[in-house]
Amino acid sequence: MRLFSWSGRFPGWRGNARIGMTAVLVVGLVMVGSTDAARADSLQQLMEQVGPEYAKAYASPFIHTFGPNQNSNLYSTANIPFGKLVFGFGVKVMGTYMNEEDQSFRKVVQIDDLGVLDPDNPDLDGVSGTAVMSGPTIFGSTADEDIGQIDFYSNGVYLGSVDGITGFWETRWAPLFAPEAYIGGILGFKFTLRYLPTMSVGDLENITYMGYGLQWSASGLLDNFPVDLMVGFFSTKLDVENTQGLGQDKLFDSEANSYFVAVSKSWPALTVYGGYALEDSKMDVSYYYEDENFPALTQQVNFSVDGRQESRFTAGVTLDVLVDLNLEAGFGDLTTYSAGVMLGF
Amino acid sequence: MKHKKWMTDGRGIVALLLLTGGLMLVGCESDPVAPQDELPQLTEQEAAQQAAIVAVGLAKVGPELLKFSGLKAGPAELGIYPYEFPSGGDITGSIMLEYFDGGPGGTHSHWNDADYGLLYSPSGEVVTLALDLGFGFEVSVDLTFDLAGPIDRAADTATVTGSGTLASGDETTGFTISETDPVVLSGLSAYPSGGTLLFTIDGIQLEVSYDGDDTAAVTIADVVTFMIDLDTGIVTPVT
Repeated sequence: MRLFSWSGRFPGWRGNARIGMTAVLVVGLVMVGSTDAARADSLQQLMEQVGPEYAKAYASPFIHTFGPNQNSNLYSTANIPFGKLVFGFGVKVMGTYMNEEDQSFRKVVQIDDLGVLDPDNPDLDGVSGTAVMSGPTIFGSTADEDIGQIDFYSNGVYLGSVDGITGFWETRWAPLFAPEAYIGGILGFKFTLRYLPTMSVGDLENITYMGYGLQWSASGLLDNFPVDLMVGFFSTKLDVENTQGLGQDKLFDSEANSYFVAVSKSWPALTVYGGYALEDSKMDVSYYYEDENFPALTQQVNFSVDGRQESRFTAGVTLDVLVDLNLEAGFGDLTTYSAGVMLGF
Repeated sequence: MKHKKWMTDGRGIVALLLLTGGLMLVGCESDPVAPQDELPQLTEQEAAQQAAIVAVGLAKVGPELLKFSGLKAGPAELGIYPYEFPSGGDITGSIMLEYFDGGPGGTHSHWNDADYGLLYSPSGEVVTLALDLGFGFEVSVDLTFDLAGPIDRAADTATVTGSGTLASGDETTGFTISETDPVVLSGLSAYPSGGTLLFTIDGIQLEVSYDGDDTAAVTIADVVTFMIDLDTGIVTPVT
């Protein structure tokens, strides 16, 4: 079966009804595909149209901002009573403000053997080349005219292009929100839980989210210390179900962990706090890439990416007027802003 | 002592937090996380291949300055002729031809009376050259030209200098014709009888020299490094 039509002039490839190709790369296997309807109804449908190398680059802002968001607004004071039960509940909203460059990407991949693209063309056997993938990221332009593309070069000569995909949601803010509850006040400990029942948000289907953490404050031991001190950790998991029904459970499966120290100073109705955290995050992406015209190109796509951010400084302020309202900024590789409203007792 | 109290009662820490927060709110921006890879550096052979395409394109397009006849012209002013390459060939697109009598400072003249000519790409227009470079299919590149020089009708030659560009995907390469060794085009031959094209491609300086036969030599750092087949555009290393 001829996997790719090399006949005719390459610009004619763009916009072909459906084109699929595969190439053995130095770094592994990449598969890319295209449809004439590159705009899709859901993020999953968009992702299903591209192979792992394109998908990694395309989704990178999403992958790297999820962790910092999940590790945001984990505390709003370093003061936890030693002998007074406290509990509360509320909601936290976080947003990572991305660098403007993250709305587009360019990924260059060396191809060892262009012959894999078209097994019926012996002239390509053993010919090396370069694939240049570029276009909007997941948070880039959703306009059809800005659709991504994959350009192929060999021996310094442009061979042709195939379409990639458009952005999914054009924004520089990667948001997250989470209901939160806590209980504590015994010997300076506080347990915090974040949880979302399975739900759909926009085009992301069946999102599940849960996090838990424990904090301990030294305030009860340091009566005369000018500020409150606290240490803690928090661990969260967030995943998005893969609805293809082809053996993949999760389209995105992420987890994040934070280990932090915090300091705060309180006055009536006002607390100023700050802290430092070591954190990590990871996201697994899994989907089934199916090329209807060229079944040989169909494959399971699985890849895992570690989040870029490994530490952060936090600065925030909490207002205690009827409810606890806190505003916080976190600064690491990425800048994250968050706010929380908690009703405490 | 007063200073020490200020340090220990928490106000210093609060001020530091507020100052840090304020500065960060004003000045902090997330690092980019999406890949922004640079295009790979071209090798000498890859640069030579780009130069070869230009050499073939110039050898195919340039002689139109001599081969053009009024029969090819549509409605035009005297001495200014748009020309579109016929479909079905390996060259498509359009160029402009201008003819002068009395040299470069002369007046526009009938094409057959000219002793000086211009061949150039209209603004925004390109000539597309399709070549079979051995990939099993034709590749297409876009070329522009801005050539000028004296025409010798008796010898059927034009000796031109000028410049142009090659666009191959997102890459654009420029070239110039040596002022001291202009390209000698022939209306009767597909191969220029002389002349040198100068390139700087990805930092690599190349010279392509015509000598009247079906090959052209690529010189890098004063060494003839590759030969170009002017019929196919294929580059072969000189061993």
